[in-house]
Amino acid sequence: MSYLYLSFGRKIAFVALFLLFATKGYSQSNEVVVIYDLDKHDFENPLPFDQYFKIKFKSTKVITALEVRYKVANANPTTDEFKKKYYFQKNIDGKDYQSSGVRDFSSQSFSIGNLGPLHASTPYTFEFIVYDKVNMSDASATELKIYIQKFMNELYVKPGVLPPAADIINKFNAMLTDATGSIYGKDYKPTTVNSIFDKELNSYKISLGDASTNIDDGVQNYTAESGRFKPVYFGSAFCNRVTALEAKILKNAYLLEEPVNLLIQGYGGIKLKDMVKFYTYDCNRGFTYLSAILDGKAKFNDKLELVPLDKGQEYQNAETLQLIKTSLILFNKLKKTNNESYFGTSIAADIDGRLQSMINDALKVAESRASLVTANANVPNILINKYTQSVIRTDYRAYTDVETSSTPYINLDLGLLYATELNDVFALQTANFHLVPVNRTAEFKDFKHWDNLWKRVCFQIGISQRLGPSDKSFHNFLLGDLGTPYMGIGVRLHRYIRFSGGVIVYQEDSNNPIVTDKITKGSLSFTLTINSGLSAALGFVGKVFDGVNK
Amino acid sequence: MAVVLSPPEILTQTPNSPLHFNQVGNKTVSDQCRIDVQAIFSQGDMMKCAIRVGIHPKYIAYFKVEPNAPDSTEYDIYRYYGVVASGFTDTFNFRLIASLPQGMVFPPRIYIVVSVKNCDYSDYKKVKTIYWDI
Repeated sequence: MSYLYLSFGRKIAFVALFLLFATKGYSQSNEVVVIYDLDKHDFENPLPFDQYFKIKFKSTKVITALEVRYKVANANPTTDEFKKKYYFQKNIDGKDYQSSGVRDFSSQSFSIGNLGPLHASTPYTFEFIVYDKVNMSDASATELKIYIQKFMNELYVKPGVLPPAADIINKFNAMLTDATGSIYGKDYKPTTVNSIFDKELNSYKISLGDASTNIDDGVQNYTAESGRFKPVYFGSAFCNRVTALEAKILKNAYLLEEPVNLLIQGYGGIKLKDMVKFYTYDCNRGFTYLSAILDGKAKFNDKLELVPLDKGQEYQNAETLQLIKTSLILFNKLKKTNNESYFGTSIAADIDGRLQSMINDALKVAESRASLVTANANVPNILINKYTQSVIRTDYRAYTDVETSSTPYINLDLGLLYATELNDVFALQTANFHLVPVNRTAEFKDFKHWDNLWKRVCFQIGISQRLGPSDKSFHNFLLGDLGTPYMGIGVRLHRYIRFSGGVIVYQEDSNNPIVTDKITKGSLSFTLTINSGLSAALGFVGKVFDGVNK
Repeated sequence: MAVVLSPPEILTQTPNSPLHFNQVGNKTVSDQCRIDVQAIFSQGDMMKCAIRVGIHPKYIAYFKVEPNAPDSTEYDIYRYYGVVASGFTDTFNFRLIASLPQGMVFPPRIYIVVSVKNCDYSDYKKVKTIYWDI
């Protein structure tokens, strides 16, 4: 007679095992951590399917920021078939990949969580977008600044119409590509040429624009005035007076010995008689010298020698014009011994106003050119808070087979069975067979469509051992002390708890005392079990029963 | 006695900087602008005067002026007054049309050149450039 009941020790062992399973199930985190080596461009451990995961990154260098993108490889995400089959793959902002968003790190050790889930047995392409601060040598940075300075001056200072925006963008982009490649801002979005001109180069371009227009104004007004000045005022009448000038015919000849203007820095030693000599020489040369001065192409040095003004220095001769203006004012004060004006009408009354106008313009040009020099000495660094981007691409397939730790098709349950026919409780161990890969730690709420059914339902085969005191007529079927077999259909109520219905098969002694054969019977049964991974469960079962049997 | 021109005086410039642009139909049009210009000269009682208000030549690819008047171009407004005395003023009301809205970041500012011309001479004029920030 194969009377089965569990010894007290085995009952205790079973309860302990049940609690262990339950504790293990509930204590498992629902986010798997996988490691990615940014230097080797590969994952170090398998990615889970149907479950969120965290990637912990390894890198030998400091990473400023990183974005993880992933998508189902070689598939058209716009089709309805794709959307239904790969429902984990959300189409974000019209892109075909999912993204973690860019995360700031500035370290060598960091992780990004809340990734996934991935579909089982599906090829994926991962892209790791790595952002680093723009790193240039001092020489390259200087070269870039020089290029920007030249580019900006050609735009805003060089004569001519500002080119269309598209031309500016293309040329600037070409320069940036040569220097750094594409650059990204603090928000890790591509930095556009428009953005650079609007922000980093804004003050610089305004300084150049203001200085350039002020120079234009100054030069235009200067030349307009000098154009009116030259043909009229320095003619034969003036020359006749200058060349005939002698101290003895003047009432106030002492003026000839006085400095022309002590207020002009560097020219305090110039006396009126020196200017008389200059005008005399110039009259003898057809006013060549004065023409050069009034054209803005020459100026005096402190010895009244003429110094040509190079291109870029033209019209910057305010001091020279001031000397001429003051000397002419003093000429108008020279009187003959009879108290009459020596120069009379040979120096027109409006000459003072014209020269002053030109002086103002010359000063404006000089001041604006100085502003230009200052602006060009402070070319902004457009690469501050800018980043470069590099992309690491890794193909990955979330493979599933019975060897993987997630035991996608087979797993084990341990629980209780209630047999309606016997009105008794059994300990139950089942092997569960799924039709689709199942990650038992995945959340149900993430499933859609048929996955909601097939990721929960399984076919169960197991053995059960009667726990309560049973009548002596009960016998296990086929399996001796191991228990009696159970077959059923299970449905997971929770990731680790399964409810199932099925049948146990057992044997019973006949009520007829002359019949010695046992009667094989079945009982409708309901079970509540706790699930465990195949390998883990086998390990637990082995250890517990080893311990109990000792 | 020959006139000595000064650069024009800008008595009024509205609106305050920056100048705002709005989309009107398919055009990007600025707020109404007003400039009161005064012509000043010395050494003469009267002169034949004209005033021109227009986009700085460097930036004509980016802005135009509306409305235009006879003798004006799409970039400036030109007015001839005949003989006037120093201190003569006139008001210019106009709007600017941005030719390329997305390229507005490239001009540093909206530079407007105001010039007063002594029409007794072909090349005697004085200019002053004013601006609005964009």
